Amino acid sequence: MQAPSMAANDTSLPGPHRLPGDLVMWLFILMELTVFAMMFLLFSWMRSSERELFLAGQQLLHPQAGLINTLALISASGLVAQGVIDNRRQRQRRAALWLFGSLLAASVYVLVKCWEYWQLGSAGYGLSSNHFFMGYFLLTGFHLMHVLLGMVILAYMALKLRRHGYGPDDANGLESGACYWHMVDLVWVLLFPIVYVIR
Amino acid sequence: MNAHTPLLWLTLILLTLISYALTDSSTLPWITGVIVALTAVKGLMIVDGFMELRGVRHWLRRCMNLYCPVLGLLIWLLVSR
Repeated sequence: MQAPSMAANDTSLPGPHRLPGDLVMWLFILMELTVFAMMFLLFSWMRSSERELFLAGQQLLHPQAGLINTLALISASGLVAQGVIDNRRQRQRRAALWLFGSLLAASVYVLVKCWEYWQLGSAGYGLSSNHFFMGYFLLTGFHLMHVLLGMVILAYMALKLRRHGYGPDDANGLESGACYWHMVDLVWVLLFPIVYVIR
Repeated sequence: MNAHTPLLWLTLILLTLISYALTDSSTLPWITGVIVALTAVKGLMIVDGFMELRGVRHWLRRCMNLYCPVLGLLIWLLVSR
């Protein structure tokens, strides 16, 4: 019977069976995930209909760039999770540092993605080139918009943490923002194999 | 899970590298299945670990836990046909 009492004393945990963050944010996350799911299924269906075209399109992408972006977003998510934990332990300034670190990791993602777009654009590929590139630009562009919004939220939360705007008992906003960021990470974790890995 | 964020991060990185290493073999349906399964596991780890839904008694957790496996299965069925 020691384990439950240890868990109850662990300040890094959100509390027994408590949904972290705000319910409205979770409903928004579910809505966003549904939209992305439909886009993934449409992309996969188009791919099964035009296999050769999609294979040829994939050859023009840079899988290393996709890998770097995946590692960057997973790292950013890990840093945000650590920030939430440190806030519960009343180490707000340290939590802010983790969030600034996650912004740095997210910036790597944005830079690499812009470089990919520039490379493809220079080679003459765009939204209207074919079905593969239409799917690629729509999926990754829509995701990039979410990353940029997530970065604004992270910056706001980091600055608020520096001013001790959050605390162990006042972390609803921080947890909601963190969950939004993890959703952005989750979507990329699915997008990476669909677009870059599976042939 | 929260106390093990670095371990979770490391596991996610390793699973990503394994998926990436399978890229050239992914024309085989069973390799595609392995990649999709690894992706579903990663998704579950993010939901339970980073999003801190492990142990939460709420219908949202069930939805979130179903998301990656169900979507992964549908995608696998579509790309393997």
